[in-house]
Amino acid sequence: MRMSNIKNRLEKNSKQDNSWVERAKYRKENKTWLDISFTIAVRIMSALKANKTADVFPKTQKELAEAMVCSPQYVNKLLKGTENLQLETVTKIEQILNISLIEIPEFQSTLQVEQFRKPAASDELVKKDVVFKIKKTKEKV
Amino acid sequence: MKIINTFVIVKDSLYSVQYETEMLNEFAKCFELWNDPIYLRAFFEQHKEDLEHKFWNDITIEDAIIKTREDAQLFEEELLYIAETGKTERLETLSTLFEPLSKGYIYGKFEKDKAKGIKRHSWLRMYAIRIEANLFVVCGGAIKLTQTMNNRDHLILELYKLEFTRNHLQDEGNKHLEFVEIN
Repeated sequence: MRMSNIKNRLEKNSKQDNSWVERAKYRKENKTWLDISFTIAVRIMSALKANKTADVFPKTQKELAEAMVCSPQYVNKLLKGTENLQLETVTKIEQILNISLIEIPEFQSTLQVEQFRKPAASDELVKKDVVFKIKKTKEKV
Repeated sequence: MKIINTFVIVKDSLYSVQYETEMLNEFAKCFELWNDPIYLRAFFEQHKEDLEHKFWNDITIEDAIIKTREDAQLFEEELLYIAETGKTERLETLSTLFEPLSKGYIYGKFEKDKAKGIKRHSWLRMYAIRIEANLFVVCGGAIKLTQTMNNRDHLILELYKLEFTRNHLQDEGNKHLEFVEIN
């Protein structure tokens, strides 16, 4: 009886939450780039902390803003890990803090892969397949 | 401390309070904080000694921040699914997500071991009052790095919020609402 009183009161007096559902959907739908933005924010903060320990510029958010020639508010936004960063901004931060934030795997053509690859005996079929692909590529050229 | 609103998170099953001093209800606030690298960095810097306990296997602050967000993501996606699909069979899982707050938290004894299956250790906690078998009111949340709640200020505050919310919800003939947590 008493329990249903509480239940009734809750049902009658509560508002529907929209803030969390909307934010949760946004986080789910944008997960891939938000993950990267979050990790970048974490790395930047670690670099600032290391600079602070070593007494190297920039060691605070404010100093990073100075080095980036932007507002401290922008740096704060960036460190929230929710900013869809431009490559120009990322590379600028990499240079200022002397850290690597994103890396592109080095490009290797099919031909280069074959030249540097030492196939195992059991790899014969794969090897033939690769050679075939190279020949086809040469033909095209 | 004053509760200014209660919010429906999952219809007929999960509610959350909002305190006067906060912009968000406690449930939504937890996920904002657990996704905020600035907050997480400050938290783990402040609780560095607890993080260095052998139980956490020499985890770095950087990895602790990443782990917190990953755990929060899994947790949030599960709850979002329940919130969006409404009352389905899976909704019943909500009652299995919460478990009673062990006496150890309050009296300082060791926390009882809990069966967590293959799930790795998570330090995220969401605290709630159980009204019925499958009806909960969230009143707070925390990152819990220690065995007990009663020797860290941020966890003592959570105990106070549990007590405060229970008093707010219950009326005269109702003194046995249970404290529960999600982990």
